[in-house]
Amino acid sequence: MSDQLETTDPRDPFETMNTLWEANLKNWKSMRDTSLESWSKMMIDMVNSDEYSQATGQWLDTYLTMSQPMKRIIDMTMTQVLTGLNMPMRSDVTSLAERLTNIEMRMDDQDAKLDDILHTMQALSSSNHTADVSTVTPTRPNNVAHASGETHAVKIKSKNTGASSTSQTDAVQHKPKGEH
Amino acid sequence: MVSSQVPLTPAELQSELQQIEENSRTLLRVTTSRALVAQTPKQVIWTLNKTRLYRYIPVVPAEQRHKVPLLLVFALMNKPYILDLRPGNSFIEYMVKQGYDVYLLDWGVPGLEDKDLKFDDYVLDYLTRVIRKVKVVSGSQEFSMLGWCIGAILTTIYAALRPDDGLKNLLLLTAPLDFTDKKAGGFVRWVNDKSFDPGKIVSAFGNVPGEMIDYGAKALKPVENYIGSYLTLWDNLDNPRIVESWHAMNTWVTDLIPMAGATYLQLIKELYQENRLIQGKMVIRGERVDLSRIHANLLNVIALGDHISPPCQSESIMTKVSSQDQFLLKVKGGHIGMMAGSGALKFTWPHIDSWLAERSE
Repeated sequence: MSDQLETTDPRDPFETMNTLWEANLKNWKSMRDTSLESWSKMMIDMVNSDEYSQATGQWLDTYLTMSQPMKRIIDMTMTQVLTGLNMPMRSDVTSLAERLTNIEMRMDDQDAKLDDILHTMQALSSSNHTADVSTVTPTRPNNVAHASGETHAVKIKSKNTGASSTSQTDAVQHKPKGEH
Repeated sequence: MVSSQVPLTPAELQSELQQIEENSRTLLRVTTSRALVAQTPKQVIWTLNKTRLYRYIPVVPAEQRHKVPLLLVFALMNKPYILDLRPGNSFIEYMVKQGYDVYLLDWGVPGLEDKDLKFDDYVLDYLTRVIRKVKVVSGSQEFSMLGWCIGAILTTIYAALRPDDGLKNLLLLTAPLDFTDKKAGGFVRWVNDKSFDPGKIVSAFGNVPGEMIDYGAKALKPVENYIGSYLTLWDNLDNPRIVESWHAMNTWVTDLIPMAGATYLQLIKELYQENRLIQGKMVIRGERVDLSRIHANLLNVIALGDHISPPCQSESIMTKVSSQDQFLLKVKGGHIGMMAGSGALKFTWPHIDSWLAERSE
């Protein structure tokens, strides 16, 4: 700060003010960062203490215990209101969603079986050299769609980047089995 | 952002006011809006319940591509687009450009009807089906699987239960697997306190609210997360690169999703409290999870500054598996920063690529 003041023209009050402002700002930021760092360390120590674990656990336990009776009353009231209005309750909606998921799983099972069948047919048709492959080879629209992405040809990047960066860090350890 | 010069002339004052106005607008925009994320081109190839499987459009010709497809499995309680945060800062974009056939499993947002889903269901009903689909679409019977955080638990369980299903390479990132040390990190301490009852949380909420999980993660480093992050933004409001990066990360951090109640209960009781997985005592639908059955090539990536899954929770898997080809990679950075921070492109991603490339042919 003293060096900066030496370069300032003492007759120019604005320049002096600017220099002072800049120096103060730097000092303030430095102070702020230092105090935040020490505050952070203190807080990390605090949250990693047994006392904090106990206090959090107890607070959570109290909150859950206190809030449950109120939640039960709200749930009961809502159930009565929705039943009275002939409207589905949350449990109805969730059970419907569960059933839908079950149906989806059954469909996925069928999809898997279909894939197996197609795979077997493809294997059979390819092993049969005399057959006209183009007329018996089954295909699925699903697989055709994926091939469309393969038309995007872009130059491949060098794969040597990993090897060169390995040497930049000593944090890499090779531990073969049995050396732990 | 405070100007380092006092405005002396009316023109300077006007310019200063304009700068302040612009900064205020930027501040408001990045703290109240969502950034454009997950922009790498992809297509949905499979869905079940809330779960979706994406395949990323390859940009490398088929003949130059690696033969073994790569399936990415992220945690259950955050959105997986952290792996595809924004162009230039996207692991998925990077891997697609390196010639991998990349698939991403998005677990979706569980509803109340999913509160009974357990690890058993996620591994045996969902992951198994996803892998089947990856094999069909890629045409490869072998595959690589990368699990991050809770995703690493799921992939480890799968690898142990179905070791002969074609899993060639298993990549674990910051995997919380071993909870022997009950003093290692805030989470383990909190959930092992006798007054902490996960059953009570689940019976009160059904699914554990995203806000509660978010509080837990942020409370581990309260000053950095609640104050430091915003100060970084304030100090760099005139730096568009940092502002946009902050915006994307903030979008992800605030995009909270709940966790299925039964999974949470299992995670806390069977893993964090009873440490069953690493001891070989975990049972998934009647099958014991025996880690010694894992024989896939293993890359275990640990973040040295990880306060969510401290390194000691991830290291011991190396001695439990039967994999002949295994590699422990320790990188600088935190739980998320290791893969999505500014240093990821320089250090973590190239290491993963170089390890995986020679095992994907």
